[in-house]
Amino acid sequence: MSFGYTDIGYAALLIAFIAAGFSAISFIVGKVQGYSELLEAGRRAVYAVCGLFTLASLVMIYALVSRDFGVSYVAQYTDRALSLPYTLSAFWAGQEGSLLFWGWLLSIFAVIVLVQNRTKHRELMPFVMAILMATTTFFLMLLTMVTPPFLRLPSAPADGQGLNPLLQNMGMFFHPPTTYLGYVGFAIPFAFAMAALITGKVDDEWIRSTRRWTLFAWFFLSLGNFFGAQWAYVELGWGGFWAWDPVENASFMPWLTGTAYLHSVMIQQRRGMLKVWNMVLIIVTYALTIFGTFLTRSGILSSVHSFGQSNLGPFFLAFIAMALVLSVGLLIDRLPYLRSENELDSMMSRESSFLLNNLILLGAAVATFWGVIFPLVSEAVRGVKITVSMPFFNQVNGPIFLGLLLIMGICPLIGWRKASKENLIRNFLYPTVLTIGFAVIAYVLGLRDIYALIAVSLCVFVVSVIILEIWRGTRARRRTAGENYLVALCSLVWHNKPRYGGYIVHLSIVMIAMGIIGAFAFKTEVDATVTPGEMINVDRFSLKYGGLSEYPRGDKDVVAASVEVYNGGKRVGYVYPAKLFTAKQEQPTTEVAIRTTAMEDLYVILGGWDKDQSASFKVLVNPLVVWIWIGGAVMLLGTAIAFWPDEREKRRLDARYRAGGA
Amino acid sequence: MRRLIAFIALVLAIGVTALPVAAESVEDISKELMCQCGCTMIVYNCDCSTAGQMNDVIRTKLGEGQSKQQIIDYFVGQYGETVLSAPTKEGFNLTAWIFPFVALVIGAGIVYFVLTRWFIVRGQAEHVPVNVESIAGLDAYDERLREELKDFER
Repeated sequence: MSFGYTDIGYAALLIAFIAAGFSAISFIVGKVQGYSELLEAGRRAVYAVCGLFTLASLVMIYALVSRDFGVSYVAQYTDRALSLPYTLSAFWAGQEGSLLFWGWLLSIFAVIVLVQNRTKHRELMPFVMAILMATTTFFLMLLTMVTPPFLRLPSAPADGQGLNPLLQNMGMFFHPPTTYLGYVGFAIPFAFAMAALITGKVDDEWIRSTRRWTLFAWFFLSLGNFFGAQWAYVELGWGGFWAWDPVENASFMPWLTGTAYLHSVMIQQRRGMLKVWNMVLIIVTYALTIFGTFLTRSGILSSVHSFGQSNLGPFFLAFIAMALVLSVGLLIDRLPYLRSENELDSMMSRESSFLLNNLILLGAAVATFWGVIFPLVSEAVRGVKITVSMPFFNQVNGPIFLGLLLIMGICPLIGWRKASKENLIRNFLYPTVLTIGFAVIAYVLGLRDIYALIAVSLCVFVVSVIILEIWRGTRARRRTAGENYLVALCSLVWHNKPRYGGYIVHLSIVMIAMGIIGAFAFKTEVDATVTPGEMINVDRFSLKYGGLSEYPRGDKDVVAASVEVYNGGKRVGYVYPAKLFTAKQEQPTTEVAIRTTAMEDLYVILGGWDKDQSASFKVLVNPLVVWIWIGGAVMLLGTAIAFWPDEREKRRLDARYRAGGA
Repeated sequence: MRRLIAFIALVLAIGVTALPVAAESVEDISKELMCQCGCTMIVYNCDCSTAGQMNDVIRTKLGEGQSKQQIIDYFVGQYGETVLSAPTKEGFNLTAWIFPFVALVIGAGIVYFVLTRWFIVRGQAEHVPVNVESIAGLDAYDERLREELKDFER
């Protein structure tokens, strides 16, 4: 057999496997035995692993772009008709490719961490790198021994099988890489946390050095979830954006625990408390990111987008079990070092309200996890296979999220250490009065769905609390600095980025909540079969069906219906819901027509048709859905502000550490 | 804090009890069943031919005067319990519904315990009065902000 370029890819992964394993061991031995040469060798191996991963990835990209169908992976996920962007996205569409991508990202992050900390954290760094390299070694073991990405077919087929049409969507182009950036990003704070435990240097050094990595990971995990939801909304054609599918849950759970972690580290930074809890949170988050990759790729739970199913399960389970046993064991061993530096001054304080926030976020994560694994539990206990789907998650998580909204309103207004009665009255009087007033008016105006009423009122509460807080800050700044309101507002945000970035993220959560409430509680839906010229009436919209047309688009055959839309009797335009047929897929895919305004989405699905041109439609009016995506953008803005270097915050924290404690 | 916990409990309780009362329509029944085409969506959301057939069966049986429970039982007889979109609320399956809330209550108990313990430890230590808010004659918030602004300029 001749030597092909894909063998270079395989060889690169094999050498990287050895190098990563060597690097992990040499960091530990070098540090423990005090051999600086070994440490240097370990560092060089990190660069080598990254270089080799990059080489293997380039080989994969070349195989995809050159449409080398002799490579099994390329034949399985692409074909000649596939456009260049989607051909590139096939890199992460299948199991082997996405594991390669995961490992590649981790090796790049490892290099960045190494460069960032060349002269810093001499105690922690060898262990940080050892942990990152050990994780890399695990992925390289999978790539070299279990699911090699460069397997060749005995003979190259004339064309590939093509990418699943459902994955040919821009949302799916971005969803996997952003989610993976989030997953992989959480490995960094985890590695620092473990290094802190191993070395016994359990002060806040590890938290300070990873704050921005944590934000980075959280940012991309959020983005990944948004792209996933957006994809489901426009591509799956059922009118919703979140189906509580196991894989969606897989990326949602680490987001919940990561969010809890993001909040509780603030208490450790400010008050030196919750040290053990923060360790637990980052361990759980890391385990959940690996579990998420495992769920997506193992096919242990059937899922709407388990596009890869294989024998990876036992390896992932063993790795997760090992990571959990080692990290929890280490944590228990180091408990005496993790004493709280402070006690609680008052039950009514920011600290206790943060604990409540953590409780609810963790509660949602536990509920979701329980729902995800309950089919396995049921099968093990009763021998009966059951399904846990949307209705369960909506009913169980709904009330938990209401609790989360409430606490989001209360938390930021309770002072650190101790909230006095005056503080509480001062901060809560107006928002509470406003919220109750709003609820009463909404009820009188006809909002009788108790769930929606509570949810919307809580949104009003959170928004009023944040606006009041920002207003007071702006006013105080204006008085002291003599700036006008706009300048005062901008400099207020600029001079306290983590805090106001956080408030902006909270506002974005309210926008998202409004979108979800709108879609769940106020959705209108009509199923109708009509002949050309007939009208469908839904909410205040009237849709006039014009007829069907058929035309080719690339390798697909499109059957589209022309539908004229009237809003309150006024013609506002046309929409063209369609079905797409490809030779390679039995079932056509649905192309939903969505007409979006700030108030609502008109969502039109073409169901089917008959020879006489009569066609069946499902028409939904989804109020406020666009606010979910706007909220997503605002959330990213808020995170970016919080992420931005803040010299003053750094000085404040430096001062706190110099003072030695609280 | 106790009042706060009580309020949250109330919100949770309302959330659980405010679930809509079942009405007998194709829509309500199709939301409780999983499509059997392998898509892992509920029948209500899926637009494949399998879901279409299942909807037809529901419609026919409703037309024959069967109740929601009878129709659901029919599908369970056909496909097994896995056709249900959520666990039943009886027997072992009840643990699916209860566990998350039990976990929350236990979690709340632990938080409460930890808080009180910290608080008691604090109380036993030499008590240093905390003067964060309410400096006489001054607007507490403005004062805090002025201090923070002073910090900025350092």
